[in-house]
Amino acid sequence: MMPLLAIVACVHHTPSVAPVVRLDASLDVGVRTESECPALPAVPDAATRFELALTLTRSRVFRDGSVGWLLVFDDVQRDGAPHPLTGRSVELRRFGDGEILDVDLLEHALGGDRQLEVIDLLLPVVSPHPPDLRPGGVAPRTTSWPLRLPDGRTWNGSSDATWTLKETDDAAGVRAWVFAYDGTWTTDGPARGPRARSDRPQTTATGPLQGEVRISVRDGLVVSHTFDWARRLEVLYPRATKGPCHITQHQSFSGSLRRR
Amino acid sequence: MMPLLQPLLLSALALATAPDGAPLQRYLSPERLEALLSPESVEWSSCVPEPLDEPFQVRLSLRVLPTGAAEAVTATTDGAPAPCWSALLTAVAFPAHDEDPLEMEFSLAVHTGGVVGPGGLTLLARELGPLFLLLPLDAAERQRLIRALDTSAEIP
Repeated sequence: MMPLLAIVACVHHTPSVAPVVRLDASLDVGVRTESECPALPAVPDAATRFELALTLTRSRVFRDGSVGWLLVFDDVQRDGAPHPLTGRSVELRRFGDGEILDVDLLEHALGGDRQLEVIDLLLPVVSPHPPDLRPGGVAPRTTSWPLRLPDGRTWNGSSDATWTLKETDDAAGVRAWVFAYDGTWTTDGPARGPRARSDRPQTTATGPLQGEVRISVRDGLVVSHTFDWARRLEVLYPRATKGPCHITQHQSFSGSLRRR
Repeated sequence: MMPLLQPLLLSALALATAPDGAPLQRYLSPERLEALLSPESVEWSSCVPEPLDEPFQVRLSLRVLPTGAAEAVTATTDGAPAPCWSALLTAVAFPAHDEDPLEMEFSLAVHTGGVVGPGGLTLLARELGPLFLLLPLDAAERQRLIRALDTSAEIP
């Protein structure tokens, strides 16, 4: 009888997961660059807008119970022009509470003219990881999203935030928990390990973040998310041709994401 | 009880349990391409002349579109076009993928014992650096910066 009861309990708490979720996002990015770097020409302040159409498809279950979700960048526009992230895909390996364990296939979205690492906040925006709370409850949550390349280099995105479960609402016909959060986030890497090299560029960043996110009671996935994040990013290039090059970039990100 | 159990059972049936670390097949890795182009997958031996006077090498190149279609197929032996080999390569069924058109080249070694390869398979690689910085530079400025920063240190 016990195994049967266990199965019933598991079913009761297993959300009925929608196999495909379509999302629209807009993201305003502002950058201000300071450098001690003769190699870098003067960089003007810049503001740019991304409009993204995304699809999140449940792809597979891992042995530890985490689930792979294929995140496809169906259409990405930057300031109204097609952006090279269009058509790329990565796989978010996450637990049901939103915790991101890994981001697979990232090497196809990072760097070059694709630069998902610049807007990497989209990963926790798509997969927020709030603590378990009762309405009105407040609790801290530390969460991370590793940016790992096949060669072993890993940058770790991490946030420390205070989360509040404000209410449960039924906006647009979807019953959802409404959370607000406020805190800080960091970016650090590549991780130092046995293969670390002192001449490799090092990136560190920290800054504030806040947002409000609605999470579906039915499937545990994001319904909408408004966010306002910023970071002071520092990159050191030890092997620049005219001596070590230190670039600081103040990046601000504000935007929203919602299910189509 | 059945209405409760049904979603779980359907969910379990719909999704295979995956071993850790095996990537989804959304892109064509060199390993996948080598398997697709191996003599076990392609009847390269049908292009080997009989009798075979001496060993030779075939150099092949192509571009695989995101749809999986192959284009710009070339095959040469000693610099001369080798239509039988290019016809076989054109007929290879590549899967659709999420990358830009993949440009690649490789070679096949033809011996009396058969065809060995693909060897020296190279893909046109993307240049990643500089990472994390949003720099409003055009392509030429970006290339100059990559050289000046020596982002090669980003590659182990």
